[in-house]
Amino acid sequence: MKKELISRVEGHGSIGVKIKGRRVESVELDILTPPRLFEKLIVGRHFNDVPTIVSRICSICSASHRVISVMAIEDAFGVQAPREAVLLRELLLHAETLESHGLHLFLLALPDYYGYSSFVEMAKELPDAASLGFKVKGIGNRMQECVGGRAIHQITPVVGGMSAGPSSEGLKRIRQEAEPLIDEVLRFLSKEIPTLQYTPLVKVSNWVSLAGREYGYTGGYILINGKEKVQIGDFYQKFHESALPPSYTKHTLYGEEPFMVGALPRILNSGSKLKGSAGALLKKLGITKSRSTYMNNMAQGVEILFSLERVVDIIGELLDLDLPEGQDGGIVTEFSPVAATGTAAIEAPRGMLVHTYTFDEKGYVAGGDITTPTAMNLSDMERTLMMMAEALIKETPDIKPALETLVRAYDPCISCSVHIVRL
Amino acid sequence: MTKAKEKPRLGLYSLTSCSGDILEITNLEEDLLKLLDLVEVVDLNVAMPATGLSPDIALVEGAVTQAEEAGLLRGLRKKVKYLVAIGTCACTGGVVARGPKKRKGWLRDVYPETGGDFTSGFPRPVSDVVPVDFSIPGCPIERNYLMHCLGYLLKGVVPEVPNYPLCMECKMKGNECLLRYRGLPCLGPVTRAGCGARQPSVGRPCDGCFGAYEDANREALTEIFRQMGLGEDEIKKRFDLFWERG
Repeated sequence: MKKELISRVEGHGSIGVKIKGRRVESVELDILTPPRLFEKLIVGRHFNDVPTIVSRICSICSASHRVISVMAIEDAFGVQAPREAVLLRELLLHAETLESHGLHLFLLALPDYYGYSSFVEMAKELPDAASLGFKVKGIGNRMQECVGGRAIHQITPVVGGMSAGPSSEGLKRIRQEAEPLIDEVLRFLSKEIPTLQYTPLVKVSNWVSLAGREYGYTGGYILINGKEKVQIGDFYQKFHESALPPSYTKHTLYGEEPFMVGALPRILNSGSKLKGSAGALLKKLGITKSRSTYMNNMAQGVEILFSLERVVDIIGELLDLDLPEGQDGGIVTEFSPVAATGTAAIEAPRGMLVHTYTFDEKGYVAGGDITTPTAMNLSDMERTLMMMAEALIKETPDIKPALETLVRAYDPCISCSVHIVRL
Repeated sequence: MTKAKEKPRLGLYSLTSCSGDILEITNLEEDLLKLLDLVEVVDLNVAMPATGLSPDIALVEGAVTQAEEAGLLRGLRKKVKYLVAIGTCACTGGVVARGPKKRKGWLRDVYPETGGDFTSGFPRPVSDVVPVDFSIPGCPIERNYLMHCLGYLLKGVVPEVPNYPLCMECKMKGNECLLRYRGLPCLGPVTRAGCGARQPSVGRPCDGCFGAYEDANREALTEIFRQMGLGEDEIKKRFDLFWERG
């Protein structure tokens, strides 16, 4: 079996395909980023250190890890963060989505559509695509810096609320930048973008995301295939994990079946709730009708618009609230730790993310479990890779580039998924 | 006709990490374009296939946990003029380099089916494997600090960096002292300046990710923590989050 490293994904992974004659015997996706054992590192630590440690799981999704760990701890202690803090955290999640989708769609995925080996090559001939990617990613970074205190490994989300509010000047600048960007992204994505020839070969079979009254990255319950509702606290009853050698990552299954998480499942479950330019673009792209796994890339485009529009609204709301800035005071609810377990789920850019922690009465961690979206997607990646390999091997022995584009469509974040643990 | 002078070649390498330091480099935005005018990037494994050219300056993020990673470093050491550790993981092993004796058991607990077979070792700093010419700390690194250091290295000069505590930057910003006036266990007094006091500026005590400056007085700060009522275990956990090797 030959294994080759995949480039243009975050972290290190490889695809192994076993071929006998013209038949594909097996497909295996290995995650080679070594284990860092985060769930063990937090045991015995004070709850205040948990968000600081677990945000280091991944630099791209550090805001998601920080916010969700804070929410899981609040669930354990029965704390309700003030509404202003909840809004600020939402803003941070939109910021991260912009940064992450901007990087993935424009700089890592689009080169496949236009036939370039990397964004560096693409930028030479299509400077618009690359520069729009940098703009979307850039506004996401500046927002994370403004609201979170740093573009990577944010500081402000704390158990009970936020340690500080952002500067109103900073918020105004971001709003000024976001408003024209909505039109620019809509124009670019409404243009003819070449279709990847493999698009019809793979379809989503099971799709899972959080859902609620409105479209968003937080939600009241887990929705499976647009029909079945599962309470967040029941995640571990419906989904289970197993690790298969030689990969360092655990696979997560829905019952016994693979499932997909990410922008496409969110759109399939809740896209009908989208309004504004995000809603308009969704109608134009035919994502729901196609249900091809590759449509995850375009679903990210729709979400870039959704997030930009939401950012403008949230900033308007926050500016009316006159929040304390910088060191002037936190936006926090008072609380005391209790011995309990808490679970929370969030939609990180690349899909549902679940954190759960158990604390002793002084607020020290007894155990924890983190299930990342890439771990959830792993089995589905193997399912669709097999479909693709079987379809393509009849035509050409060189199936590697096609399989790489498929893995990239999932936007895997391999450093995230590598340390899934049970205690 | 003489050939235009070739630009110095830069290689970026990611070992066991969250990739946050290289992500910070891509976050340079306009400064990134300036940097690309000055250097040719010959290797960046998260975003492009390798060119096969050897770099003059290698920036390495992440801790060493694999034999392949150690091999990559030894190979680089022979080729490059400057091997630079970037980010706290590469400098000290970082937040993941904890519990050296417990690690085998952790692997088996976490991966019951496969944990015993893993070849990954305890996270080590780059300097445990090969000599490092320069270290740029931070979790993540600070973009300005990095650009400042690269400016020196491109001229062939060892960079001059702050060798004083974070408190200096905190004072310059006009912040209220969190240690003195809010009773928060801030590591600013023993931590190298360079981030502009990011955490204290948003009301949170410094966690010490830049590590110690020369002559940092750990004992004096330990005594202050004791007087604030922190237990010995709590004090140890403050220092070993990032500031000192686990």
